[in-house]
Amino acid sequence: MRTSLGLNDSLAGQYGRFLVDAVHGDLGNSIRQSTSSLALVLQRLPAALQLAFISFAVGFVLAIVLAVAGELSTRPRVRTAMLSIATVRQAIPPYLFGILLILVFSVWAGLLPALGMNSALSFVLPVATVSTFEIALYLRLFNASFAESRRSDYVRTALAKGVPHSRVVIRHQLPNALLPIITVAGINLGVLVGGLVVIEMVFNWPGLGRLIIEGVTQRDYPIVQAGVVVIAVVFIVINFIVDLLYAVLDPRVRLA
Amino acid sequence: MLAIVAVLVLVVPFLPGFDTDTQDLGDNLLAPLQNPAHLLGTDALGRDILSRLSVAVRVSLLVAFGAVLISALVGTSVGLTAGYFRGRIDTVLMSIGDIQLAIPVVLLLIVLVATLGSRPLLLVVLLGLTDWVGYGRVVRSMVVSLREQEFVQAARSAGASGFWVIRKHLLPNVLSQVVILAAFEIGVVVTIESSLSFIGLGIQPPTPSLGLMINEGQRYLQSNPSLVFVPALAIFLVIGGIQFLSQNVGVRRSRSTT
Amino acid sequence: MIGVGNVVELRGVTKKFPVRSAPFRKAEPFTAVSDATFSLPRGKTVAVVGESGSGKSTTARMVLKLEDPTRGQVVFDGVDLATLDRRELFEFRRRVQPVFQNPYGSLDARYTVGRSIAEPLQLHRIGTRATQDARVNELLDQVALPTALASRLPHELSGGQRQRVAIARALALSPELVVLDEAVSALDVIVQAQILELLAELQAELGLSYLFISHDLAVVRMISHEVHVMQHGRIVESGTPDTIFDQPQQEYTRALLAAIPGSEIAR
Repeated sequence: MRTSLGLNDSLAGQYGRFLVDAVHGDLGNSIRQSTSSLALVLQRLPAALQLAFISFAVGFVLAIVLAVAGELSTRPRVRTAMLSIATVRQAIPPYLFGILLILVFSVWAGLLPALGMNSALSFVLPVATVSTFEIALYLRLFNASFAESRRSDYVRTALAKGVPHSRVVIRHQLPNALLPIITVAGINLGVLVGGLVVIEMVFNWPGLGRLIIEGVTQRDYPIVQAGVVVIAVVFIVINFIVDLLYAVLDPRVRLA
Repeated sequence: MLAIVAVLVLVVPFLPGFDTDTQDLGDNLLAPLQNPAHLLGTDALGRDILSRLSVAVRVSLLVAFGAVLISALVGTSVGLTAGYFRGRIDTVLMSIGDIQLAIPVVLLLIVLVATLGSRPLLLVVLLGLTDWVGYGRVVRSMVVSLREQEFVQAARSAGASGFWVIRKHLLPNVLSQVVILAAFEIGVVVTIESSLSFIGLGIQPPTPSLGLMINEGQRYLQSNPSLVFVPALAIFLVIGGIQFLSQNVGVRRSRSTT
Repeated sequence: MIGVGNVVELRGVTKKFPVRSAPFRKAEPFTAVSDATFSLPRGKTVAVVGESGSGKSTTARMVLKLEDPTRGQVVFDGVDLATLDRRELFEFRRRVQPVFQNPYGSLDARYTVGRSIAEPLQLHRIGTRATQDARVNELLDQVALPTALASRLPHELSGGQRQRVAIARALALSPELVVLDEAVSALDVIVQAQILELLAELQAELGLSYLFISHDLAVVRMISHEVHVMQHGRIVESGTPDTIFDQPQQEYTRALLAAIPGSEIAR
C-alpha cells in the first residue's frame, strides 16, 4: 500500500512527481474510487460552470438594467430603495438565502424542485440564490460609478448640448462604468466557480465544490488537489478572456 | 438592529432558565412562544433555542472580532509597508494579495481547515489571515498619495526616518478608513464563518453556532421552519445591522469632508 | 565660515526617471534634469525658473536629498551629498529645510500648528517639552503670527498663515539653507508680497541662503540675486534678475516674461 502510493519517498520527491504528473495531465487517482481524480473532477465541471456562468450573466445583466433605470429615474428615492434592498440581500449569506428560497418555493408552494440537477427547472432556485447576490454587488458598483460621472464635466456638457438623458447614460456613462467593473467581474467570476461550494451543498448540486468537500471529509486528497488545480486553470482562462475583452472594449488599449 | 443583538448576547445569559446543553427529548422540537420555559422553542434534542442562539451569536461575534483584528493588523501593516517603500517589496506584497484575492475564500478555508483542523483559535487566525487584502489595498492606495504630500516630504527633510513617518503621519491618517472597513468586514467574516460552520468545517459541536443550527434545522424545514428562521433572523440582524451602521458612518463622513 | 563661499554647488547634475512602459516595449527613461551646473553663494538667493515639467522641482528635491542624482554631484558646504553616511545625513537634514508650494498639503491636517512646528525639534531631540514650546512661540513671533495660533489646526488658518507656519517649521532647526519650492505660488498677490518681504527680513536677520524655485518671473525678480532659467531639464539662461528681464537672450525666457500678468500693459 505505502509503496503503491509512493509514500516511502521524500516529501520533495513526492511533490516533484506530483508536478511532473500534473503537467502530463495526471493528477493522481482518487483514493476512494481508484479512478483518475482528474476525470472525476472534469465530470463535475460542466454543472459547476453552468451554475456559475448563468447566475453571473443573469445577475450582471439585471444589475445593468436596474442601474440604468435608477439613473434615468427622476426620483432619487428609486435609487435609494434599490440600494437598500441590495444591502438587505447582502446581509443574508447565500446558503441561507438558498434555504429560505427552498422553504418558500419548494416546501410551501411546491412549485420548484429543491435538490439535484434534473431539469431546467432545477436551475431556477440556485440561480436565483446566486444571481441576486451578484445583482446586489454589481448594482452597487454601477451606481457608485454613475454617481461619480453624474457630476463630471463630460456628462454636464452633453446634457447642456441637449443630448437626451437616456442617451447620455447609455452611450457615455455606461461604457465608462463598464471597463473597470469588467475587471472586477472577471476576478469575481473566477472566484465564483470555486466559491459556490456552499451553495452546491444546499441544493445538492453535482458541482465541483461539493466534490471537493466530499474529498476533504473523506480525506481523499487527490480529488481535492485535482479540484483546486482545475479551478485555478478555469480562473486563468476566464481572466485571459477578460483581458482580451478589455482590449476590444477600451479604445486606449490595442493589441500590437 | 444591533440593539436586539446586544440584548441577545448580553442580557439573555442572565435570564432564568438559561441553559444551552441540557437535552430534553420529551420536549424536543417545540415551536416558539408555546412554552414559557423555552421562549424560542427547542431543537431536535430538546435544547433551549434562545440560550443556544445567545451563545452562538456571541461565538460568531468573538470569532469575527478576533479575525478582523488580525486581518486589519496584517493588512494595515502590509499596506503601510508597500505604499511607503514602493519598489520591489510593493510588487511582491501586492502580487501576493492579488493571488489570494483570486482564490475563493471559502474554498481556501475548507482546504486549510481540512489539513490544519478547526480549533476555535486556529479558525480565528485562518479567517484573519485570509481577509487582509482589502485593508492592504485601501491603506496602500491612501499611503501612496499621502507620502507625496508635502508634510511627509517636510518631515523627511527634517530627518524623519521611514518608521517615524509611518507611525506619526501615515498611520494616524489611514486609521479612520481602516476602522470603517473593519466594521464592514465583521459582517463579511460572520458570513464566512457561518458558511463554514454550516458545512460542518467551522465551529464544532457541541458549541452552538449559527451555521450549524441552520444546518440542523434544514432537516425539519417542513415541520419546524422556525428552527431555520430563528438563527437566520439572528444572522440577518448581525450582518445587516453592521452593514447599515458602517454605510451610515461612511455617508456621514463623506458629507462632513466635502 | 559664515558668509564665505558657496552653500550648495550643483556639478553636472542629471536625473533620469524610469518610465513604466507597456510590456514588450523598451522603456526610455525620462530625463527630468540634464547636466545642471550652478552654485548658491552663502547668504544669497538663487532662483530657478521654468514652466511646469521643466525639472526645477526635481532640482530642488535633489538639493534636499529627497532624490539622488543619476549623474553629477550635489555638493553641500564642500561635501558631496552622495557620500554622507546615516549620521551625516541626519546632520545635513538639520541644516537644510524645505518650504513647499501647497499651503494645504504642507501641514498634517491632524497636527496642531505648534506640534507641526515642533516636530523637527522632536526629531532631533532638541530641548525639553517646555523649551520646545518656548521655541515654537519664538518662531511664530518671527513669522509674525500670534502665538495663540499654536493650538489651532491647519484648516482653521488662511493660506498665507499656513505658509508662515511652514516657514516657521523650516526655521525651527536654524538651518543655513532653505529650499523654497514654489513657496508663494499658491497665494494671492498681496499675501505673496507679504511673504516675500518676510523672507527677505529673515534672510537679513538670520543670514539664510535661499534656493527659490518658481514659475513666476515677477516674483523671482523681487527676491533673487541670481536667476537660472530652466527648460526641458536644461539651464538655458543665467544671469542677474535685471539682465534676464531687460535683455532676455532666449525665446523661452521672453515667453516666460510675457506670461507675467500686466506685462503687456507695462511695455
